Amino acid sequence: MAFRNPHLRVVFLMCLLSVVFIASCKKKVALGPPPPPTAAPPPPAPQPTITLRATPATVERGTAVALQWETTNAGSVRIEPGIGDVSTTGNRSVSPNSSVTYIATATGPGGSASDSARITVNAAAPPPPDAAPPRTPTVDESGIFDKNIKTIYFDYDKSELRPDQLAQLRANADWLKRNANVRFVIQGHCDERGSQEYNLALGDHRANAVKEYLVQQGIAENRMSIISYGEERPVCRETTEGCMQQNRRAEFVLP
Amino acid sequence: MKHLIRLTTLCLAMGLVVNLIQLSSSPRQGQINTGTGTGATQIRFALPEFQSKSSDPNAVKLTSLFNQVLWDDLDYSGSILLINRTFYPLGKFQAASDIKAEDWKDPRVNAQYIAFGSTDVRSGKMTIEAHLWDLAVASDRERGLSLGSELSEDAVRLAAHRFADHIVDTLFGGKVGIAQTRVAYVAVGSTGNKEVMVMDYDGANAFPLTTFRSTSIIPSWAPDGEKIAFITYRGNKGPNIEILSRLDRRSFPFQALGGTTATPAWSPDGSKIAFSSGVEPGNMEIYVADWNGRNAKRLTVNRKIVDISPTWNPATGRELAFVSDRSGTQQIYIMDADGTNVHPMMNEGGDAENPSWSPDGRYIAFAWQKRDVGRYDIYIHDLASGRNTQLTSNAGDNERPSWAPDGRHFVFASTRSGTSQIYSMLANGEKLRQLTKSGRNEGPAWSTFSGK
Repeated sequence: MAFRNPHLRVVFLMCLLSVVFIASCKKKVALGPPPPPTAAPPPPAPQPTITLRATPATVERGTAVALQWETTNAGSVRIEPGIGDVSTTGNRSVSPNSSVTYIATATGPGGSASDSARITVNAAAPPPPDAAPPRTPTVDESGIFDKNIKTIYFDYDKSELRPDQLAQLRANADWLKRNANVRFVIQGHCDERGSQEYNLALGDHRANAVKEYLVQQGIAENRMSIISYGEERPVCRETTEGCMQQNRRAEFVLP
Repeated sequence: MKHLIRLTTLCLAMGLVVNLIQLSSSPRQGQINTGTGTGATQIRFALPEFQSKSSDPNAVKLTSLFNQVLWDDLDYSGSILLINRTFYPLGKFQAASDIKAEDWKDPRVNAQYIAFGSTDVRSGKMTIEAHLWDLAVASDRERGLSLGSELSEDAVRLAAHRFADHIVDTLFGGKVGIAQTRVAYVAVGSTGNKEVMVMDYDGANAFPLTTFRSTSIIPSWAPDGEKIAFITYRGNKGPNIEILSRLDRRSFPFQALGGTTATPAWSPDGSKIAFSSGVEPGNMEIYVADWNGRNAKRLTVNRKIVDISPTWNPATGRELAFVSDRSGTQQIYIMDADGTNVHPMMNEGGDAENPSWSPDGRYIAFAWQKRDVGRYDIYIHDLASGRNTQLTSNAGDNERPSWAPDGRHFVFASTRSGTSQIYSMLANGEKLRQLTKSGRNEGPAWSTFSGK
């Protein structure tokens, strides 16, 4: 950032003046013709003015609004956001999807002026929430799945399968082999330590470690998908080791 | 000629002396000097209250709001020393004829610049006549600036921000005022849902960008200041990248690569997005794609290693910093934008995460959990000297720094008040400002100047 430095500037100007002075002393100064009489400075250009109006100022979403502007002493006019350079007087129809403030700035030889106009858009429909809600498994299906398939736990900051978890994972695999029509999702989760971003990656690696094992056990890859929740879906919110261990997990759910 | 040389030497020496005086006096006691030059030059500035010509109570109230927002903006800029109003000459100062320059150059005030003016209500709108004077240059007094505004708090706040940016831009040259910029962040709902929000740079006017009732996190601004890319689990899918306009919430397509997708980062020219993807199973790597997701190219090549959180060098667009655990802990690495020339930013252990590259390319702000500390603090790494400066300490976890476009301020998340909230400060540790106060808020990102 270029800061003006008043002290340095003063020093520099003093030096410059002295240099010019000394340099000019060395010359034999030839007297030229007297300078022409300077004309009186022109009166300052008048400051521009601008008014911007939005009619109507409050609308339902999708309704057109007229923007109108008038100026005096302006050379150019710019309207933001999204309209840009326009004539010095004019109108424009806009249909904003949500509330917005337009700012019109008039610039001329006498400076600049700006005016703003807010358009309030009522009941702007929010983007649809979760468009495809998950299929709710039947109580039976879900109950049997949950009874037979258990969560697999991991060590801190690790995605390698832990030896003490292999028996449970093998049991999960056996049930999934016997129920070959069941599709499922493996969720990777982490405790809150480490950054949110790193944990997204760690959760991905944990879910993949489980998936890799199941594929080795002969379960078709197209039956399963993975999703990493990182630290976003803890089952326990205390900072004790016991609690954090519950969060470092790969969970099996029906899609 | 001898005279010239001697004089030049004298001038250089004088310049040096002035420089030395400034250098030695600039870092105040207890101030953290990052070498970013913040706080080195402070302009003494007088800002008498703008007067309402209308006696309408609403106009008087809005004028008082204008005064407060303008004062806060200039104070927070960090390069303007606002002189306490108790030292001002007596009187009201609303027109050029009310200002006598010598009163303001009195040693007790000693102002270099003054801004003053008045408000009035005409045909249902507020008109603000604003002036900015260099008190040393009588002939160079800038002509007045007229700001029109509707009679609402939002509109008057915006008018104050516009004048504040005009003052900062005029005093320091170029487009350096941040009062009209914005901060995107994530609000955590009571049910645990996370929505991406956008607020003014001072914490006012917060509004939701997403209303997905899902988990939407890690926002990244496009350089146009309109589009925001983020990660979402909307539709119980994901995590995927989505892009929305902050103006009308319209959505822009991003072709998913597949697998876990995280940490989008828009390139400084707006044409590309870098991100981390687990499309290759068990292997989160950095990719760069066109901003619609097409033509994705993989930049990092590892196995069973986490590579995440890319950030572009905004000054060149030719380098990226990112986080990798290839050494065993999370560390920041720097590479060329084609994936070559990978080297560690530093070799000091602990977990270093959340890199944010400063707009001038000279610094990387990051969150660092030093070995055996158990807490994240914000540091600034000077790429030229390799020196790290600590900006937060003994105040909870401090994470996710994101530079303001002026390269002097940054925003971050801190748990110092008990819950995670969004704060901003100058890059020398001054001017700490809490931007969010209720609920739980995380993961902020500061817009470009075009966020205006």
